[in-house]
Amino acid sequence: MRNSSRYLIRSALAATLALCPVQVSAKDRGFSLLVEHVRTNYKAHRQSLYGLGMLSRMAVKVVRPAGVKNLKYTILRDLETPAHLDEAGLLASMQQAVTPYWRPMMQFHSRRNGQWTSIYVQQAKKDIKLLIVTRNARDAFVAQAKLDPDKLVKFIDDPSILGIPLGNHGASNQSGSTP
Amino acid sequence: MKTVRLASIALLSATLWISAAFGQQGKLKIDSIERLSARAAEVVDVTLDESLLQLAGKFLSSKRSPDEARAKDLINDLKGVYVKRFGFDREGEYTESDLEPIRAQLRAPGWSRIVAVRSTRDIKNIEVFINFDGNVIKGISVVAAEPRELTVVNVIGPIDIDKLSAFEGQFGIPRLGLERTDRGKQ
Repeated sequence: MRNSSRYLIRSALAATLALCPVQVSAKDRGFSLLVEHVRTNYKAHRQSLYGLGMLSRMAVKVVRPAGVKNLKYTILRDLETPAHLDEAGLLASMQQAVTPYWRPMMQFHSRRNGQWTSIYVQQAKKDIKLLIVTRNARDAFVAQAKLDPDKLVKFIDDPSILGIPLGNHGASNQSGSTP
Repeated sequence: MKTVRLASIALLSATLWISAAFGQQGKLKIDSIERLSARAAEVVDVTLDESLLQLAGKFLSSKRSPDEARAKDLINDLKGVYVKRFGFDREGEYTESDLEPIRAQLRAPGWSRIVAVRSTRDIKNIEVFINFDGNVIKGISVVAAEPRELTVVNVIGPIDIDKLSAFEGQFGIPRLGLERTDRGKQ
C-alpha cells in the first residue's frame, strides 16, 4: 500500500516537472507569438527603432512610471491584407495559440475599417501582465507590460514620475475643494 | 489509511474542478454564437472573470466620487461579465436559429424572463433574463437583437436590472438604455 502511494506521488511529481518548463517558457512566448503571427500572415516588417526600444525598456525598469515594471513593444509596418484572407479565422487561431497561457480580456474586430485589437492578461503574483496587439489598415502594434496595479492606482490619483507632478493635478484639486 | 486519504483528496479535487468548469450558476455559454463572427462587420468580445473584476475594482476609488464607490461595491459582488456584440452591414445576416443555442440555455430551469423591461434607446427586441437560486439572483442575461446588431450580455453575481443599467457603457456593456416599466407599482 505504501508503495502505491509513493508511486502516485512520484508520478504526480514527474508529471508536474515535465509540464512546468513547457508552461513557463510558453508564458513568455505570448509576445513573440503575436509578433510572428502579424509578421507572417500580413507580410509586415518590423519598424527599426534605432535603439530607442532598448532605451525605453531600460528607462521603464529604472523609473517604473505608473507602476509599469517592464515593457516591450514592436511596431510592424506595411501590412498586406490579401482579399482572400480569412481574418476571423486568423484571429481565432492567434487566440488559440495564446490563450492557454494568457486570458483573453477584450477582443474587437472591425472588418469595415480593417482594424482589430486583442487584450490578454496574466496574473504574476501581485502584478499583472498585459499583452496587447492592435492593427489598423497598414500598421500593427504589439506590446507587453508588467505592472503593479496598486502603484498604477496611486499614479492615477496623484500623477507624478520621480516625485515630479504631471499636469495641473494639484491645481485641479484646489479648485475642486472650493465650494 | 493513506490510500483513503489520497482517494479523498483526488475526489475533492475532481469535484472542485468539475464545479469550477461547469457549475457556475447564471453563466451562459456565449461562445455558442461565435460562428456569427464570420458574417459580422464588427465583433466585440469581453471576458471578465472574477479575478479580472477584482483587479478592475482596484482602479475604482470609494473616496473619489459616489458613483465610483457604487461601482466598486457592485464589482465586489460580481463573479463575471461576458459580452458578445456583433454588428452587421446588412439586415438578415443572422436568424433566430443562430440564437437558438443561447435561447435553449435561457429556457433551462433557473432562468426567468423579465417582461417589465424596456429600452429607452428604442431597441424593440430586447429580452432580459434573471437566474435565481431560491430568492437569490445568480446572474442576469440580456439579448438585444436588432436588425443590424446583436448583443448578448451575461453578468454573473447578485445583480438586478437597476444595477446593470449603472454598468452600461462600462466593461464592454453597451448602452442599452434598460429601464423597468413596473417601477411605479413597486
